[in-house]
Amino acid sequence: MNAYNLSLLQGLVFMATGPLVVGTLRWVKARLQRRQGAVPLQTYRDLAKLLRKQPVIPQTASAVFLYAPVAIFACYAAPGFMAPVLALPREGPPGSGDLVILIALLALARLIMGLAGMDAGAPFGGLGSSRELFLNVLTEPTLLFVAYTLALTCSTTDLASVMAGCFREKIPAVYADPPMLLLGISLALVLLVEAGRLPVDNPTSHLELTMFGKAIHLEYGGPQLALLEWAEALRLTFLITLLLNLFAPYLLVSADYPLWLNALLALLFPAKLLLVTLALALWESLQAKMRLRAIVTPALTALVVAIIAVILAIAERYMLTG
Amino acid sequence: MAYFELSPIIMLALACHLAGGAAGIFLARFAKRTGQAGTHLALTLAMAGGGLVAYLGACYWLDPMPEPVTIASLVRGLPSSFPTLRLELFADRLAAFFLLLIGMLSALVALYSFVWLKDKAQKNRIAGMYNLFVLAAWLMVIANDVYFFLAFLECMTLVFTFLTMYRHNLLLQQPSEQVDPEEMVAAERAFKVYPVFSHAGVILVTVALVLLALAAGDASFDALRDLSLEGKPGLANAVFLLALAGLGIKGGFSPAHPWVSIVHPYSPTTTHALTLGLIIKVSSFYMLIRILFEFLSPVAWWWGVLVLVVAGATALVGVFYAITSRDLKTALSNHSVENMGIILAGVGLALSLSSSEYNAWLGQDMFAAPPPLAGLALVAALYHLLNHTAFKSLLYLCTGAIENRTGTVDLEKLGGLVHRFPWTSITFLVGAVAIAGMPPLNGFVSEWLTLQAVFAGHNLVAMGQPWLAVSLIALLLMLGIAFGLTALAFAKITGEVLLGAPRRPEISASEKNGDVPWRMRATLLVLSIVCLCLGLFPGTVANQLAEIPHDLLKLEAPLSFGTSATTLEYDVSLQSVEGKEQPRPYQARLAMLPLLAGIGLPAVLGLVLSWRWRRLSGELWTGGAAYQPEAMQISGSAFSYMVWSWLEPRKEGKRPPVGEEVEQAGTSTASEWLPWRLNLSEGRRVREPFRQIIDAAVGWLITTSEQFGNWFQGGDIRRYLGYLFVTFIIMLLVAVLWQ
Repeated sequence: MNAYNLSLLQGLVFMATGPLVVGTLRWVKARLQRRQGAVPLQTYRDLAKLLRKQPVIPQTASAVFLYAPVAIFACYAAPGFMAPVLALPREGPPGSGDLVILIALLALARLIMGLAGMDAGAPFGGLGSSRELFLNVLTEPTLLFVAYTLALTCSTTDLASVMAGCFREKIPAVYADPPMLLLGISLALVLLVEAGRLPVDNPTSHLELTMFGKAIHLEYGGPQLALLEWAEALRLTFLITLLLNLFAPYLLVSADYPLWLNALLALLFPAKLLLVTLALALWESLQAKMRLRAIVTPALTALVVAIIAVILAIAERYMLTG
Repeated sequence: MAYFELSPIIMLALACHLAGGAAGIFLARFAKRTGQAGTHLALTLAMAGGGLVAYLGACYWLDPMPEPVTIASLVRGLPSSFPTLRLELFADRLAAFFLLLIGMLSALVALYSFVWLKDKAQKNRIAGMYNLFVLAAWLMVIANDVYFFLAFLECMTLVFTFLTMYRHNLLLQQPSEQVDPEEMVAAERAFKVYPVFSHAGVILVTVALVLLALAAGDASFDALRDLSLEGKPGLANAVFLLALAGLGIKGGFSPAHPWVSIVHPYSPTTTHALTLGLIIKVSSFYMLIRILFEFLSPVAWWWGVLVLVVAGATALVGVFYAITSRDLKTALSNHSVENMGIILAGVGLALSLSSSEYNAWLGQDMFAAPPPLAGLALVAALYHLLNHTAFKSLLYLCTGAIENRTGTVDLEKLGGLVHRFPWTSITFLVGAVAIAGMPPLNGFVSEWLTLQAVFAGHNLVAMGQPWLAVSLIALLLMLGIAFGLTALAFAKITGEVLLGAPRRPEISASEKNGDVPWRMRATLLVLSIVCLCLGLFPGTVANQLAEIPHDLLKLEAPLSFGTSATTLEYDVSLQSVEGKEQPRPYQARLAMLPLLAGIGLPAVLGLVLSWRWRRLSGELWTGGAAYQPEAMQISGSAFSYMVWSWLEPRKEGKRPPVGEEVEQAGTSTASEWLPWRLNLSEGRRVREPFRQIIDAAVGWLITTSEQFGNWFQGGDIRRYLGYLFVTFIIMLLVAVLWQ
């Protein structure tokens, strides 16, 4: 398998896995709440149903509203093609997996989402836009500090090089390395905030006023809604994959392996994500609902933790000797 | 001897702009008889002059002048100790870069102005002054001595002061009962505030440059370039602080940023695109880069710390007040301040990396060429400068188009323009995405470069200055928040202006038919394409820009950003610390083609999946009530409430009761020199602490000097005799000591 096929393969596997992660999460949460719950594959059925429908576009909306879901979907699916998701290429990556680019892609998706929410002119869409972009203000500096920590320890922010050349070499030592551990904590907190997994957001509610991004989804229907739901699932999947590939780079596809082994490993990819998904579901079920502004607390905690990680990384690299 | 052959073009460009200025101003007297002729003549000459200047810039970029050309010199009649007064022209790559930008942008804006100035009052004068303004700007860039640099800088101030009177003059021509007194005061404030700030800046720059010229014994920039300040750290520090303060005021660096948004919205929107899109950077960064990297050596490490902190603060403050602005022109003016901060971050990093301490730590001679990282940081700054010129002027020209069509730039009155003016809207959207720093447009590339320079710049910390680490972390924190806020600001602005339903029915009723005329459309399209190209070909652009730091910093090896046009990549080796392993070289890589492919593949899939030939049109979900566009859409102040609410003025920490007018918070009184309570919407205000501080400081200065004057001019004859006596003693002492 050459590098281009590999990145195509991992992009497709990534896109296919997204709904499964969300489906599993919902199923586990339902079981934890002693409900029957829909099977994890239900998300695929929902997507298929929505994709068959005819879209209804509000009269006040423009082309921005119509094409925004496509752009958002593209932004959240792009990391699958660019970043190391399934595989760790040994040499220079064909894709552009720089962490700063991926951060910008997440922000771009947020910006487009904000525009889509404003475009329909609906009262709830605007509220959702405002909240989504405020979340972006909270998470973007944290992600930049995560990138800075990586730059300090690995001399690059390119994820493939970071994972292949830096993290994998010292994998047992990483767990005892304070900056790396703090980076992991910060990234996990960002995952919670960024993917709408905090008890502040209430995406399954019937109350529009308590929603973040879902308030923007209100005006959408049919294939556009399907793309938005799929995109959200991919956002969550990407952040989980990032965390896993940094701290547990095992069971990865490689250009050296024969095709059957790679296919097997690609099929195992969702199973790897299962562990984090379970933890996420458990954590979510244990939390009480909080008011909107409470989201600032975990976001700022993540930021502070990331800054401490940077300071420790600087100290480790330049100040402490021995 | 290419420069000698080109000098007729300099004269021709000079003649074009002078003739354009004269035509505009003199034909203004006969405006009734000549109609549009004067304006058209002046603008045509401005376009011709702009084209010639751009041509000059391109020629000098390819073939920089080897040495300055002396046009005239005045030696006689001056005291012998006085530095020689001569007009020298010199165009190295830095000057050529700015010449190119000034030429191209001024020609584009002139083309656009044909439409914008049509039927406007004072159109001839504006067109004429526009010529003179551009002339002063490009002459300033190629002037090679202190006197003429300062003279042209001052010319720009004077011409621009005239342009800031535009709105005030318009209001004066209206019947007085129709004029909103508050608006009148605000328009007056523009040309009262601008000269104060601008002259404060010019005075500080003058002192800095004169100190350097005195130390060098000559006012030519060449003498300043050869000047070494080794062993005179006091002088070097003084010049650095004066230059940073003076050029910082000219460039609107925080805390001197308030003038930018007070002054610029009251100038005509066409010149606004040139002044804030480009000239504000010409009048600050051009000289700042010259002073910091050419005239001052050796460089102290703490200069960079100061610049980095100012840069971060500027970026953050700029975008914050862009969010709280009420109209489009003010919001964009405030946002320019943010971009000045990002550019300054690159400059500050380059400054730290070329400091003599860092060189000494690297084991080099103090005066050796700085490491390539410094060049990298400077390329990031210049790249962002270029990008900001493209997208900010695009956004201003879109603003002008919106003003031309709807007659207002008030954010609360606009909305839903995307349905009526597709060209303007699409180009505005391109500008907004570019300025928010989103791939694949140009803003992203330079912000990525700046961040990578910060990331690689951690090697600075190795020399054992913890303050550098603190400033780098502070800068990254402030930049990160500023980037996030910029996305919010432009979602808010774009949403309010272009998207949704029209918020005021009377605005949509007063619309002119159709989108803007072709000349405006062409300008907007050209600038959008420039934004796209600067984003898609980062390798080419960065490799070209790398020539400037290579010449300026006298780097040994050429800076290379890879061989591919669409890929920007570099490797820099980092220095190791004693007792530590050798770190790997810092690698950064931005490849546009895989990025486009990564976005493009799922985008095609998404399009195919969601495409339907027939779509239904439906009602909005409004909770069951009838849809009211004015009341039901989110307003800008509500959109950004979570950002600005902590700066809301409250009396003794109590929230005003809901539904009650916030009387106690107080409105800005019209007589305030710098209004520091900004109106967001009815009853919603936000404080501007910087304006408050500057206002209080200036107020204190005026009162104190008044008191001192009263005391000094006490009116008693004995006191005046005493003054005479003291003066006499001082003169005697001077005469004795001088011998």
